[in-house]
Amino acid sequence: MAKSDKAIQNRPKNARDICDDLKYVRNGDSIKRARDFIATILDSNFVKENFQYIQPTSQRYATAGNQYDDFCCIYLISIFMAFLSEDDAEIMLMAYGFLEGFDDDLGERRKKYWEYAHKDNERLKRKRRKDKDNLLREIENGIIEYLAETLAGIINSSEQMSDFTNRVYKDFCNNRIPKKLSLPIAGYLDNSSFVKGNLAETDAAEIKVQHYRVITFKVSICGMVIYNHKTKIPIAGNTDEEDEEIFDISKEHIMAVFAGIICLTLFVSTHKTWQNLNSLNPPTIDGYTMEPSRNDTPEEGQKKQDWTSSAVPYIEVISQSSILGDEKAQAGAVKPFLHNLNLYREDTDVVDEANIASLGENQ
Amino acid sequence: MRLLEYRLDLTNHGYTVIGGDMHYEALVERKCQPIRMTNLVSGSPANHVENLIHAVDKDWGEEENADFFYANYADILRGKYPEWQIISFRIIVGYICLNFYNFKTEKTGYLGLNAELSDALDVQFDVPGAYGGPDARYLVSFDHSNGGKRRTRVIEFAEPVRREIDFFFKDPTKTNPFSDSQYVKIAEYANL
Repeated sequence: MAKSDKAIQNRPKNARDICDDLKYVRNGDSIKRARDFIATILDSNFVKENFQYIQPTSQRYATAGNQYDDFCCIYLISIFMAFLSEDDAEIMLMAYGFLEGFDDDLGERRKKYWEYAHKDNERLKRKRRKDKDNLLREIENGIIEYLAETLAGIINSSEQMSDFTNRVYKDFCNNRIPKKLSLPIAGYLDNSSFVKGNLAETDAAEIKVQHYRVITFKVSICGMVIYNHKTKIPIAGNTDEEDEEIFDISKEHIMAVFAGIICLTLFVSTHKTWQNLNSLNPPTIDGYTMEPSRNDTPEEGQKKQDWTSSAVPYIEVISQSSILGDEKAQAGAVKPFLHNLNLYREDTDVVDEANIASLGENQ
Repeated sequence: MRLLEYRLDLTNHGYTVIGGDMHYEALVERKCQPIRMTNLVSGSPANHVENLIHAVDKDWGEEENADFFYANYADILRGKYPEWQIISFRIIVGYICLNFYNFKTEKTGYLGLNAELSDALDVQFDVPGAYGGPDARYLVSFDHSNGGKRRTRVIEFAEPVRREIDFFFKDPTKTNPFSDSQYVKIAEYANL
């Protein structure tokens, strides 16, 4: 946590501090900043009761991340909608990044909002300045000061604060307020618990809280889901969350498997070739002469011609070396080849050296 | 001494100097230290600010005319209301944007100095170090050396580094410094 993040924690809740905190929250990642700010005003028991669970491994409380983040955003939106006029709420939603279509940097959002709203928004109607960024910032600061005064009064009254928090929680559970509001925002004001001038209690029966956690087990390859299984686990407290555990066999894994297969294939084929060379087996053997004959088809003739050419080096090697005595084992390896060339006599296990010599001379 | 020349695009608040250690958006005015602004004539401190008053761009709306700050901006610049202090300034092409804060009433004010409205606009800012360190000095000038157009330049003295920073529009045909993209060219002299 950065130094300035710590700076907004555990402070006495007076208007000035709330004002400083709200200004700090305005800059940067809206979800993170909303969470930081709400943490300073929300009752920790409420968070524990509704958004925390005991981790089985560590036996410590852990916060249900996404759901709590969403709740914090909706809480901040609700603060704007409950305690500000519609025009002011709209400016604040824009500044804090909760307005649909206003997703740029803060300075750009302000310029864009000015173009959109300066003719209709009462706060902007009579204002004029070339530096729109600075003008909007000044207007926001004025709204923040007013809002901080109001919030300070509510936060210091635990009953009012609890009532407000429960209303927000009901809206959150019933999906009444989205994380980003689109213009005009009046529809959302009617839809939420914070109808202006009529802060009537919402019927408790409307709450449709799901008392279970959904754990999704997914197996997917390159984004294609091949197995999907959901389990609902009942849990204590009002929590609506989804823990998703995804096992994705990624592209890297697939590439690794392919690489392994290719390596194995190469190894097997190399080994086989080496064996073939050692055995010196001709491609055709039994009952088949390698001598070209008249009855051969052109393809057969060509094949035999190729084989004879490729056999020449072996014949030369054989003619220049002795295949007798201690080298019998080596001779055994070349027997089938010599047999095909009519140079080997099986009955005597002797190589006809005279024939080999004459063959060498002919070549 | 080491020289380094580079170029940077300006985004969001671009070149902004604050009298405190915080982001401009999270600025807590009462925690800022005041920035001293001095009018320079021929490179020396002047005993008047009339050219600065001429340079003020009166772009505020009718509603703000009744506001004390805007009704008395000239005297505030002359120093007749010492409770009004400059807490931050921003430089853009052809402009100095000043943010004021009243340390008694906690009100804020804004003035834009437009170089086109004054024959000469040379200003020196002295900004206290955020952690009790030495002050940093910024000389802001708008001269005519850029082919007839006024060149916006800041010379920044933050020991032991001096930076000469020139401001430009990315698209030379653009003219609105509040909305059009800008960049800076920097010549940095270190180990002085």
